[in-house]
Amino acid sequence: MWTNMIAKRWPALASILFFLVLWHLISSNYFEPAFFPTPVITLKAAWKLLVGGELFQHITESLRRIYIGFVIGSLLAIPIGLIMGSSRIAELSLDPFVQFFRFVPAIAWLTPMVLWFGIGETSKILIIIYTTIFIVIVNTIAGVKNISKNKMRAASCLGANDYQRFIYVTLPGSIPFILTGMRLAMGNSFATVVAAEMVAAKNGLGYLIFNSRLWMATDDIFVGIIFLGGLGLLTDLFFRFAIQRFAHNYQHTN
Amino acid sequence: MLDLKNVTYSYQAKFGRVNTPTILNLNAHIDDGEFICILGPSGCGKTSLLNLIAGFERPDSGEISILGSEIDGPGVDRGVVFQSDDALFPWLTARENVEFGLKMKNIPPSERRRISDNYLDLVHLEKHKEKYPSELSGGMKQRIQIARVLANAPAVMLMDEPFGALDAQTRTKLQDDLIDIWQETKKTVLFITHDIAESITLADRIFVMAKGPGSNISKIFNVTMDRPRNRGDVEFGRLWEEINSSLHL
Repeated sequence: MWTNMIAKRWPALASILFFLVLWHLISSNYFEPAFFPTPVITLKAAWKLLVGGELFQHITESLRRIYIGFVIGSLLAIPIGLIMGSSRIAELSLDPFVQFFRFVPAIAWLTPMVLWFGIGETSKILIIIYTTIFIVIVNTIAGVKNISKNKMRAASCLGANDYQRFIYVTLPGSIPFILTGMRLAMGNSFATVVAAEMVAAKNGLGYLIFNSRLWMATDDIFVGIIFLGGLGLLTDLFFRFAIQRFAHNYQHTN
Repeated sequence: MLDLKNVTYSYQAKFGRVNTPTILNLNAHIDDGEFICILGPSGCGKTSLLNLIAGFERPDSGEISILGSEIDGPGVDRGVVFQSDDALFPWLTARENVEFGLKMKNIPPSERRRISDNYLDLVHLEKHKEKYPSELSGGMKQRIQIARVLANAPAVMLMDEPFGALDAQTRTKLQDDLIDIWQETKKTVLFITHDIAESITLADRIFVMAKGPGSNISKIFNVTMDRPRNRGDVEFGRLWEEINSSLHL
């Protein structure tokens, strides 16, 4: 199985290996470790953090915040997007706000969030919700609009009322776009967790990255960056696998 | 059973209505159990006519009624088989697509299953009941659409160039099967096509629509040949010529 996977994925593995070699050559030949640590130095720093138990805590805390915020954000965004896509009045009245807030990055809200909700978990999770919600709304609306007119008409001829059309056509018909929106939002959540953990956090990969700057612990910053990216990559792989496995039939839509 | 009186319809453009109507003063009467083909070149308004009868569009003036009551929006008494298979629900199996209308009416699952079995057998999809549309060919998808409409027991089946996107062999096979189905179910069928041979193969009466704008039914041909009809027949060829020349007036 492993040999098969390597055979199939060899360009990905080869390019990762090439990147590591390149990183090593550039960092070891041209830079001080405190300025640009080599892969080996980064690995050593990771090992130290891992043995100390800190790294594991940083990872679980960050993932917890990302997933809670992401799930709540998506659960709020999907119904809002479905309603906005289906109702002209809802779209016209809510669209200005969606378009306004989606251009204001979550990090801009850091101070007001702390003022309003304190420095606890609430403000961090709210920031992740914020970064998730607008992308999923915009994609859900696009999904609703992408459902063919014929499907809605067919449903009407088959006796579906407005409510039934919404539940049995609009909702399943927009799933491919909703999932795409969620994938994009997941990326944003990973990016935003760093900002969220700037809010007086005592743990999390964002905290690790941000706090390490105080000691010029560039190697620890690199550990944080690599784990953020790596976990994001794994999450996306899982997401894609889940789409393939469970939402396969929704994808053949138009 | 279906009556159209002085129907005029203008295509709804983005800003207001177009001045020249697509359909102008169209009159027609269709009897129960008839197989009617509406034949005309593209752009003559035949799909508009179907949309009006289906209730997707409203006429500017005139009256369309089914079984004596005026049409006011889509309804279960008029089932539509669309040209494009994007009218199917790709997240549902063939069976679930066919059961969609029954589910909307809250018919219990065991009864739904009995009805869907019946119509899936009728359209020869016995072996594909639990497959998704994406796993089936274009012809099979149109068979699902037909079964889906029939399962809902409409008074009339409206078909908008349903075989237009299929290859010639599949189309011929589906035409033959449609005639069998029609003879078995005795359903009124209104079938839109731009293919003269298709209309002769299928119809009791052919309504010819002239090229628009402002078109209506310019001529009606009665097809009295016995079914199944053979395209090689002398009578078939003669009728083809007659209809063809009427289209190019």
